[in-house]
Amino acid sequence: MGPENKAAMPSTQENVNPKTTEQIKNVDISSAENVDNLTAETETNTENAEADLSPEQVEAVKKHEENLAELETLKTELKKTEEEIKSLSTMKIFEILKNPEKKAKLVEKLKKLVYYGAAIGALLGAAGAAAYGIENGALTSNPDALDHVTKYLDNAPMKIEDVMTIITVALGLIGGTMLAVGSVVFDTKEKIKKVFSSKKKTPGNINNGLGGNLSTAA
Amino acid sequence: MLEIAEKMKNGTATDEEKIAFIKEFNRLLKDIKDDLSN
Repeated sequence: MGPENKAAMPSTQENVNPKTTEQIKNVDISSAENVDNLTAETETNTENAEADLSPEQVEAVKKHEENLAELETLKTELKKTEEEIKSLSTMKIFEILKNPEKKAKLVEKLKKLVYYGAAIGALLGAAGAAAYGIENGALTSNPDALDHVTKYLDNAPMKIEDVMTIITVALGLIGGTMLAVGSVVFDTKEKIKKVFSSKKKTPGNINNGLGGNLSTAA
Repeated sequence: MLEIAEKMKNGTATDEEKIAFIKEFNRLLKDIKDDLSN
């Protein structure tokens, strides 16, 4: 394909319906003027596709797409945190927690974590929260978790099981959070579809000037 | 963050608030991980 034809093709190849050989043959690119006209027609049609949405709708789609990108980044970051927590040394943790100051600092963060867990559980819905044992601020799959946190405050002797509980709690919450992210991604994609299905104009295909169509569907 | 947590429990949090919350949640997890490794 020559450069003249390429100039007239839309950039989103996946949205272009294939044209028949006959249609391509019938496209008149015999002069620079014709090619310019085809390019202008394609640009106008692309603008029309965008104009199909109100400015508010265009802004909403843009915002949802930005959210999706952020959520993808979050998934990667959570996965990395999960790997880092899995690689922690139990004995090292045990040694660190012998220090009362460090232990007290950690307890405060754990209490916050458990509280946050309840909010994550709310995102998951009842079934998801139950699957990850997150309910009403407690981790039901680890019924002793809150007791352990309280014990730390009371400076009760730390056992190796307590350390293991901390790790289990953190990993359980990450699993739940990953699922929550997936749920927000799903909701966001649904919102984008909804915007496109409520376009100002009747949904349809936009002619790209070369006999092919640009789909305006989400 | 606590305010957003409450909104999430009530189902009134926006997507942006949910994302901000999950970011903060991940930051807290990393913080705890650092405390347990240093």
